[in-house]
Amino acid sequence: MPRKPSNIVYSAHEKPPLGTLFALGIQHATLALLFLVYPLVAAEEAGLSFADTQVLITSCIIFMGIATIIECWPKAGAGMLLVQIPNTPHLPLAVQSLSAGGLPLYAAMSLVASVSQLSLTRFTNALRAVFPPEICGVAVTMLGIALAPPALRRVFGLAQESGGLVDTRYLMVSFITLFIIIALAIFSRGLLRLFAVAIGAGAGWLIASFAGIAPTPADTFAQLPYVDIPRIGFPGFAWSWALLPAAILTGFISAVDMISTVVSMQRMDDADWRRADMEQAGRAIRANTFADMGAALTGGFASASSSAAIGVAFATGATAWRIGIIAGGVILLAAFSPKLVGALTIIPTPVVGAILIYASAFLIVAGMDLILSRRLSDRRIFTVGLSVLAGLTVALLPEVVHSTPDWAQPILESPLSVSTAVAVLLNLFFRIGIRQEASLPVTLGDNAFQVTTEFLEQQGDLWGARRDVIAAAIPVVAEAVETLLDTETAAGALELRARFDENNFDVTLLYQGEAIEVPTLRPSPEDLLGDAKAVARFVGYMLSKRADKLVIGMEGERQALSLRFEH
Amino acid sequence: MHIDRIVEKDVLITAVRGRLDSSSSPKLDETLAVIPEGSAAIVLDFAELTYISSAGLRVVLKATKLARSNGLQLVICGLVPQVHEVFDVSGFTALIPIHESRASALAALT
Repeated sequence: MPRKPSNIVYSAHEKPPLGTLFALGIQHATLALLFLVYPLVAAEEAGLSFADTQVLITSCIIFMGIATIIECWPKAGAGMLLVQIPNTPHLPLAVQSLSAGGLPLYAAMSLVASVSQLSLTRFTNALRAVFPPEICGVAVTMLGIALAPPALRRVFGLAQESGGLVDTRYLMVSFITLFIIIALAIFSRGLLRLFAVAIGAGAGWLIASFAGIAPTPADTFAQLPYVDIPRIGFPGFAWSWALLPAAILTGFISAVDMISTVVSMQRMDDADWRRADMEQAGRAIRANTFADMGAALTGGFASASSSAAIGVAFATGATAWRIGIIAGGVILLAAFSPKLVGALTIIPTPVVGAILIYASAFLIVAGMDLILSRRLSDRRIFTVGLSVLAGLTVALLPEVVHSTPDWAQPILESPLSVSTAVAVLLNLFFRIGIRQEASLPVTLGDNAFQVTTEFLEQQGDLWGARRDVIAAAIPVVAEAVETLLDTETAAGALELRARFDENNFDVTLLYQGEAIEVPTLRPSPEDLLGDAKAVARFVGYMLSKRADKLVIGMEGERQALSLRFEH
Repeated sequence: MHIDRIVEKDVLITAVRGRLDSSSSPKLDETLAVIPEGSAAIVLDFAELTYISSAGLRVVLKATKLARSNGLQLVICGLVPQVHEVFDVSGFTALIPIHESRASALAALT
């Protein structure tokens, strides 16, 4: 069971009180349903009929709810708080396929995307190598950066009737909403913190009403029934070879998006987080793809786990999976209430903008934290730096994307997918020439501490080892080198050999001479004033306690003193 | 490694900065071998000691024995976590009084 960080009130496997559980679940569900604006945009762009739009949205809500429940359920899914929202990487695919062939074509392409997403989960071992912490960090940072433009447009009111001019009333509402959320998340305890987002959003809505920027319900809103049976069904299939590459890539992008959100949650929920649990990410992706397949077969828009929900989880300090089950249930129920879904569309946009800004800020820093959790060699610095720049290029210079072929634009316009793809490729490229084992000769004249520090830090940089593991290994290895040479247990020289395999950092000292004794009981400190053998025995005991594992053996003609540090 | 010696209220304070290993420990050994007359107690201030090897521990042990043979108490203060771990594992924390800071060491001695 991971150790709970101090800022988390209810961690993944904890049970919040029933009332709190429901209130938090409703808070998450409300936020998730706000993102129904994405499939609405797709339907509008594609000129979908009212009846088809209803099917697209209703099926999306149903499978968002189902996916949320499966993903959060420990037995079936990832056992962590992952709340689904309509999947934004699907937007370009949905607009193109809905325009070209309506719901039947989008259903077929969405199914292809699900299969391509699912296929990645077959390679979790390979994914572990492809997604080391710094690459996960790049993806999480870019997830935050990708969230920034839609957030900022809402904050400045640029998407409204202002004709592209900044509306200071929007800015004021966003600022106050954000201020309340942050103030409650940082300075308050108990219920106030748990409902920081809901309280902030409520206050923001109130101010937006006073400022005259809260949307008024459309005339049709009053006619919407409170309860209604959802109308969904198999829309049929149509096919387009031209859209096939985009569908496959949409699946890959969705998988990367899912990995980023799962890793962010893992990191937030574990004070001793070391590396991404790709098995758990795989389970989340599998649950997501099965729900997406259901959505595709019933004419719905695909969904994916929400990065905004991660921001809410951080603000409230609640990451319990049970909250997700309630949220999923509430989302599912919403499919039976057109009135409720209609009401959510009138939440003021600057309020939504403030929530997205909070999530974006959190994800950007969470990604940086992941990047810096490992030692960075020159190779890794450029892997991270160039991939972030690649993502920023498509975000800041959309004209670059517009100059590429049409089929490539849906892929290239996502900073997340561009950054991650560049990071993965550079990571694989820069691995050329790096061996997983390195050695260094050390002689009696060398300063043991200095030689050990330089060697282990250099190798740690190259291998991207954790900083704390290398820092802990240096004094232990230096002690072993110094003792073997100074007590003349090793005849004047030895070979220092380091090996790294992600789970362990192993250092072996190879030398000609006698094996040192490793007592199980602590020798008397007086032994330090004794002969060389007594000193070596004392140090042998200390090494056995300070390394995670000490093995004394032979390698050919030489003694091998191996120190293992768990990574 | 850098060594400073100060006398405060008849307590002889030796502050060590840097690393204490086989190459630097002879210098500290020489310093600690001399106990000025009138010293009431000895404090080894290791607040800025970043690394200690068994060679360094040997010097500390010798200094403790010398102090005791002169009827003086020797205490250590300000250990950083990675050095504290060495003192814990080696059993030195049971052998020599350890204080959090120089001020608390002086308060305990005077």
